[in-house]
Amino acid sequence: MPQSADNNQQAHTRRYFAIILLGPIVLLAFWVVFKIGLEDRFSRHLDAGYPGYCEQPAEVLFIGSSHTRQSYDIAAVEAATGRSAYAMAYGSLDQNLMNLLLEDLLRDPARRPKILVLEAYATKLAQRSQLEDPRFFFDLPPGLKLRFIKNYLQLNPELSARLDLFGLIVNRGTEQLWTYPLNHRILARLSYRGAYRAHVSNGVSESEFRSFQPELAGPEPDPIQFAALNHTIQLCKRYGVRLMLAESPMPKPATSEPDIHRMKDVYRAVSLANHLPYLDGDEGFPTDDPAYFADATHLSTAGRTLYTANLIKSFGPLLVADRGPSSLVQTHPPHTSGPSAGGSSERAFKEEKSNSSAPESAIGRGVEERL
Amino acid sequence: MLFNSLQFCAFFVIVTSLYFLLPWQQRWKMLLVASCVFYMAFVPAYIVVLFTTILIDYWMGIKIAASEGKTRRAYLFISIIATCLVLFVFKYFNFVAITVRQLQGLLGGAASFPLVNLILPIGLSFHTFQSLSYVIEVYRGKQQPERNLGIYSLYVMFYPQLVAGPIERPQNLLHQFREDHGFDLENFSQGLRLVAWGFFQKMVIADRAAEYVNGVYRHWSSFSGLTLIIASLLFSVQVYADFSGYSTIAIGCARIMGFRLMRNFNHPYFSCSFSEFWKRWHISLSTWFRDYVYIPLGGNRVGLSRHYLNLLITFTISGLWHGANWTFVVWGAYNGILLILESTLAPLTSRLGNSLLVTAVRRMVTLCLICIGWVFFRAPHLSDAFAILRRMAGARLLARSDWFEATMAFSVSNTSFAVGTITVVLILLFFMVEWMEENGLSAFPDWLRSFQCQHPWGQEAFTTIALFQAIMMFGVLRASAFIYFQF
Repeated sequence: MPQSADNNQQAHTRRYFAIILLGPIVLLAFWVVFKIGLEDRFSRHLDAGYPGYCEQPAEVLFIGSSHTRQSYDIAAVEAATGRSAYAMAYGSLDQNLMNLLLEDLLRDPARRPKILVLEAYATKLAQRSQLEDPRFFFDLPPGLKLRFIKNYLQLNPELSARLDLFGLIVNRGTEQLWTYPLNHRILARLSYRGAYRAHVSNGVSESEFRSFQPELAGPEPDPIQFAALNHTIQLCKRYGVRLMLAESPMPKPATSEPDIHRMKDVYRAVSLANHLPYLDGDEGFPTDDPAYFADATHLSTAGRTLYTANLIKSFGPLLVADRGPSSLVQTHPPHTSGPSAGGSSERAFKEEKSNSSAPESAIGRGVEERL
Repeated sequence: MLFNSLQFCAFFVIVTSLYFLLPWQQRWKMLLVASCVFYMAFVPAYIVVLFTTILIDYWMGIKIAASEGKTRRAYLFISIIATCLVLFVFKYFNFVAITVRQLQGLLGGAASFPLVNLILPIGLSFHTFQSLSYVIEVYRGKQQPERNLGIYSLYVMFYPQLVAGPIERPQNLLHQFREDHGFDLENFSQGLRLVAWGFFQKMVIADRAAEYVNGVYRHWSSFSGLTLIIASLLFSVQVYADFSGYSTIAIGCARIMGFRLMRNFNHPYFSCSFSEFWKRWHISLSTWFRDYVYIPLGGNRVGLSRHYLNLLITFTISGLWHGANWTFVVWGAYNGILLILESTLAPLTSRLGNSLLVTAVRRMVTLCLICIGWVFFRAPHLSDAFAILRRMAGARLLARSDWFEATMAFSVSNTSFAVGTITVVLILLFFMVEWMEENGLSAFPDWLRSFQCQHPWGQEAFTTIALFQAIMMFGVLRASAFIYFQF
C-alpha cells in the first residue's frame, strides 16, 4: 500500500511539473502568435497611426514623432491647401523607423501620398535608432512587425535588447487590446486625422522655460539614421512623391547645444543636395516666448497654430499647386560646385551658409519668387 | 539581486534544486553559502559588517545564557548597543548630523557637524531587528542559545527574508534548519503559487501604480489637488502591494523548500479601526515593537497618560525605523496619535454598534486616515507633504479639466485612457481577490473545487499559470527595487 501511495504521489508530481512547465509555454506561444498576427486589427480606428492612415489615405502626409503630432493643425492645412492631410506620429519616431513605414506605404499606389512632409528632428539624427513608443509596434501589420523585429535585432545584437523585444511583443499594448471598444471611440473624438483636436496644451511659465535643458545630440549624424534619410529621399524620387523636410520650432534654452545646430546644417545640406524644400521651424518663430511651448520639446496649442501658419506660408504654394515629380522646387540658390546626394553635403552647406543673409521672414517670400 | 530579475530566477532554481539533491544534514550549509552569494550581489564588502554583527550576537547569546543577574543584563546591553551602533552609523548618522547642522544654522553658528559617505547595507534594519529578537529571547529564557555558528548565521541571513523580512522569531525559524524537509508536492505547489501571487502584486499592481505615483510626485506642484488625491490613493495601493508582494515571494520561496515563515500581512485595508490595521499591517514588525518596545515601556498596564505616551513613543520609533527623515518620524507619530484618539473615543464609538453601514463607514474612515498618513511616507520633505495635503484639501472634484489631467497622468502618450482603465480594473480585481480570501470565499466553481479534492495540486497549478500569464500581459517587466529595500 505505501508503495502504491508513493507511485501515486510520483504520478501527481510528474503531472504537476508537466502542467507547470508546459502550460505557460503553450499560453505564451498562443499570445505571441495573436499579438504578432492580429493585434493591429485593434488599432484600425485609433488615431495618428499607420492603420488610421491606411483606412483614410491622404494627399499630404506629415510623418514624425510627437513633434509632428503636436505641431500641425491638420484642419488648417486642409483648409488652406484644399488637399486632404494626415499626421502619422509615434513618440520619438526617428529616420530609421520612418523609413521602415515609408518603404511599405509608398509601394502601394492606393496609400501613397502625393506630398510627404518628413520630420527633420535635428537631435534624433545623431542618436541611435530606438523604439520608445510601443504603439508603433502595436499598429504594424504582421509583415511589417517581422521586418521591424529583423531590423531591431540587426541594430541591437545585445542580450538586453532581446529581452526588451520580448517585452515589447508580449507585454506592451495589452491595455489597448482590452479597452479597444471604448478606447477607440474616445480617441477618435480627441483627434482629427492624426493630430490633436480637443486637447489644449498651455504654454509654460517663465521659470520653467528658462530651466529647459537641451537634448544631447552628437557631433556626427548616426550612420543608420543618415542612411535611412537618404533611402527615404530615394524612395520618394522613385515613386514620384514630393518630399519636404520640416523641423518644428524648439524653445531657445533647449537648443543651445552646438551639436543641434550642426545636425540642422546636415539637414540643410541634404535638402540642398537633393533639391528639397527644408523648413527650420525656429526661423520666424518666437522661440524665446514660453507661451508657445508646452514643454522642452513640444509646442503649445498657440505654438501649433503659429507654426502651422508659418508652414502654410513657406510650403503653401508647393502644397497647393498640382505639380508632377519633376518639378521639385529648390529652396536655395543653385551652387556652382554641384553637390551630389550625401557626399559633399558639408561643403554645400558651407556655401549655402555664406549666402543666407536674407531676413527670416523672407523664407516664404523667397519660395514664392522662384515660382 | 532583485527578486523580479532574471538573475534571481536562475539563482532560485539552482539553490532549490541543490537543496533537494543534497542530504538533509548538509542543506543548511548550502543555504548559508547561497545566502552569502545573495547578500554579496548587492555590495560584496558589506558581508564583513553583517558577519561582525552575527559574531557579536552569537557570542553574546551564549554569554547571556551562561550568566545571571547584572552580568546577564550587561551582556544583553552590549549586544543591543553593538547591533544598534551599526544601524546608527549606516542609517541615522547623517540624519542626526544634518539636523544638528540645521540647528546650528538657526542659532547663528556655522554648520560644522561632519557627514559620512556610506551606502546603506541592504536589509540592515531587518536583520538587525531579527538579531535583537534573538538575544532578547535568550535573555528572557524563551530561547536556548544557538551553539552552531553556521546555523545562527543562517537564521540571520536566510536569503528569502534577508533584505525585507518577515522579521522572524528564533522560536519559529531556528529549529527548521535542523529538520528534514523532503520534497512535498503540496508545499511546492503552494509555495510556487505564493511566489506567483507575490510577483503579481509587485509587477502588476505595485509597479503600475508606481508609474503614476512617481510621475505625479516628482513634479507635484504642477498637478491639481484631484491628481494628487489619485496619486496618493495609488501610493497606498503601491506600498501595500509592493511590500506584501515581497513578503509573499519570500514566504513562497521558503515554502517551496519546506520552511514556514510567519505571515506578514492580513488584508490590512479591510480594517475597521487603527488598532486592527496595525495587527494586520507588517505583522512581524508590529509585533516586534509590541514585544520589545511597547510592553517593556509598560504597555497599557499603566496610567492613561503614560499609556498614550507609550503608544506615541513606540510609533514614533517605528516611523524612524522606516527611514532617516523627518517625514517618517511624523508619519509614525501621526499613526500613534490616531491610535490615541481611537482609544479616547472608544466609549463613544462602541455605542454605534456593528451594523453593515457602521462597519462600512468605519472601514472608509480608517482607510482615508491611513491614506493621509501615506502622504508623509511618500513625500520627499515635510514641507512638501504639508503642501500636498493642502492642495488635496482644495481639490475640485467636479472639474472636468482636472479629471482630464488626472487621466492623462497615467501615460506619457495617448494611451492614458487605456492604461488608466486597465490599472484601475486590475487594482479592483486584486482587492476583490483579497476580499474573497478575507471572507473565506472561493473564486472557483464547484466542479473545479471537486477536481481539486481529487488533485490537490490542480488548483495550485491552474492559479500559478494564470498568474504568470497575467504578469506577462500586464506586468511592468523591467526590474525595479522594492520600496522596503531602502529601509
